[in-house]
Amino acid sequence: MTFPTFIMQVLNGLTIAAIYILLASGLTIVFGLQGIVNCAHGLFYMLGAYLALTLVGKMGLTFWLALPAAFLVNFLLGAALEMMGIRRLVQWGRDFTHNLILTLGFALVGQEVVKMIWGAVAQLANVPPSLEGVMALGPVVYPKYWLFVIAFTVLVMAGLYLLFMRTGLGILVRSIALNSEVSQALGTNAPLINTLIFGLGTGVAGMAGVLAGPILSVDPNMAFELLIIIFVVIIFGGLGSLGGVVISGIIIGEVIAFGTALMTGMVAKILAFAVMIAILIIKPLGLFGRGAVLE
Amino acid sequence: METGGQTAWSGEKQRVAWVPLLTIGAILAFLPAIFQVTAFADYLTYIVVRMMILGLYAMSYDLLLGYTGIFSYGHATFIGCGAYAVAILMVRTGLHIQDALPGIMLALAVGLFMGWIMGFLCSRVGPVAVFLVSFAFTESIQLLVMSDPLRITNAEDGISGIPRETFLGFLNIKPEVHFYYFVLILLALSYLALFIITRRPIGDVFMAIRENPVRVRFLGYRIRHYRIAAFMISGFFAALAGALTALHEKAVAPEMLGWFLSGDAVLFVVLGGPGTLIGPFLGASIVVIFQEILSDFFKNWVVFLGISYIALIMFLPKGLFPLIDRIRSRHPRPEDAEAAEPRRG
Repeated sequence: MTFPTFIMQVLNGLTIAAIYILLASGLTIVFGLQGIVNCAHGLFYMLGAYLALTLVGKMGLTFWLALPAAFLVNFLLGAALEMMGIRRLVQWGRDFTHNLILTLGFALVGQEVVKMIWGAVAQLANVPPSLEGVMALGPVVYPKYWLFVIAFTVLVMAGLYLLFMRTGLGILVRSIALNSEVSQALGTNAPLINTLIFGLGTGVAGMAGVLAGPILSVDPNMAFELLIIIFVVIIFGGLGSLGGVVISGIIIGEVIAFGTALMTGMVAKILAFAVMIAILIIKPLGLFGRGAVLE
Repeated sequence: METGGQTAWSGEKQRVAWVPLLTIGAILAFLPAIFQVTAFADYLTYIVVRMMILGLYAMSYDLLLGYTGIFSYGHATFIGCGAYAVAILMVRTGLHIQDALPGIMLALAVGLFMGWIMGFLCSRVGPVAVFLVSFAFTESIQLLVMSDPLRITNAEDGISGIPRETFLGFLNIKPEVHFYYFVLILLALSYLALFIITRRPIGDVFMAIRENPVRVRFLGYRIRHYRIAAFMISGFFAALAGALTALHEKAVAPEMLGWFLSGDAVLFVVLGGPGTLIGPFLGASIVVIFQEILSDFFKNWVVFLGISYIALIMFLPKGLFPLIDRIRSRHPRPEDAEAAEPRRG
C-alpha cells in the first residue's frame, strides 16, 4: 500500500466514522439518561435518508434545507415515540427489556412502512452541486462532499459538547444522568428534558441519514445493517460515554475501511466484531465505560 | 446498572398447569390421526412439526428471558448452529452418515459450546449491554457462515439434501408421521427436563438472579457462573430444535442465524407469558399459524409482527398464558393486584 492510498483509506475510515459517531452519540446519550437503548434509532437514520431523496431528488429542494428539515421531522417523531411509549413504560415501572421490545416493534413497523412508500430497491442520493468535485490535500485528491461530512460531524460533536458542558440545560441533563430522582426532587423537569434529548438524538440520526445518502446506498435494510455496527461502536466506547463514542467510532471506522480495502466488506465487519469481543474480554466496560454499566 | 426486583415478568413460581399441559399433549398425540382424513395430511403434519420445533425453541429461550431474566437477542445462534452442525456432518464431510443420532449429538455439543461462549461474553456486561453484545455476536456468526472461510458452510446458498433415514439404526423416521412422533417425544422429554431444571435449586437461583442479582451475590452465589449455565442449558435445547429443523426441512440457510429468528424467540416468549414454559410454546404455535395465514395474504406481514410487539408490551406484558390461567381459576391472585398498581418511576 503506497502512502497516498494509505491516506485515502484513513480519510475513508474517518468519513464512515463520522456517520457512526453521529448515530452512536444519540444512542449513548439516551442510554446515559434513561438507561435504555433505542432499537428504532436506525429507523430515524433511514427516514432521514429517504426524506432527503424525496425532498432533494423529487421536489427540488436544496440540500441545505433538507438537512434541517430532516432534523426537525425526526426530532418530532422521536419526541412523540418517547412521550407516547417509552415515558409511559418507565412510569409504569417496567423492566428495561420492555422498552427494547417496544422500540424494536416500532423499528419493524417503520421498516415495512418505508418499504411500502419508497419500495425495496436500493437508491443513491445525489451529491449537492455546491460540494461536487474533488479537493487536493497534499499527495491525495479527495471528494469534497466526504470532507464536508467529516467537518459537519466535528461541528455537531463540538456543539453537543458545548451544550452538555457549557449551558444550563447541559447541567440539568448531567444531573439527571447522575441521579434522576434527586435531580427531580430539586425541581428538574426530567420527563421534558428526557423527551428533548431523545428527540435531539433522533434528529441528529436523521441528519446522519441525509449525509449518508450520497455515500452509502439507501435501501430499507440500511437501518438494521448499520444499527448492529453502531451497537459495536457504543459497546466498544463504553455505554453512556460521549467521548468514548468518538474514539471508538474512529477506530471501528478505520477497521471497516482498511478491512474493506485489503479484504472484503464482510471480513471487515467480522473484524469489527472481533475487536468488540476482544475489548469485552480485556475491559468489559468498554474504553470509557463507567462502573454503573456493570452490575 | 441493576434492575432490582422491579421486573414485570411474572414474579411467582406458579403451580403445575396440569390441565393445559395434558390437553396440549393429548391434542398433539391425536392430530396426525385427524389429519389423515383431510386431503392435505402431509402439509398439516409439516406445519405442526414446525410448530413443535419452534415451541421447543421458545421454551429454551424462556429459560433465559423468563426464568433468569437475561434479555439476549442472539438465540438464533443456537438454533442455527445446531442445524448447521447436522447439515455439515451429514452432507459436507462426505462420511455418508445416514443415521440421525451422530448429527443430533454433535448439534447438542455445539449448542453447549456456543452457549458457553455467549454466556461468557454476556455475563461480563450489564443487562442492557447483554442485548447489544448478543445481537452483535449473532450477526458475526452469521457473517462468518456467509463468508465461509473454511469452505464448509457453502456460503450464502446454505446446505441442502440432508438425509433423514433412521435414528439409532432401527427407528425409521423417514415418513412424515414417524418424524412427527419422533419430534413429539423429544419435545415431551425436553419439556420434562426444562421443567425439572426450573424446580431444582439451580432453577431457584436462576429466578433469584432475575429478581435481584445483587442479593443473590450477597448470599455467596457466583451469579456469573449461573448465567453461563443458563446460556448453556438454553443453547443445548435450542440446538436440539436446530437439529430437528435441519432434519425436518432437509436444508439449512444462513437465514437460520439471522436476528429475525432471535426476534421470533422474544415474541414467542412475550406473547405466551415469560416464565411459564407452556406459555412460550403456545406463543410459538400461535405465531406459526398466523404466519402461515398472513404471509399468504399480505406481502408486508412483518408490520403485524411489529404491531404485536408494541401492543403486547403496552397492554399485555405478562403474555397470554397467565391470562388463560387466571380466567380458569377465577381467583385474582395478590401479585396481579399488586402488578396492576402503577409504580412511581
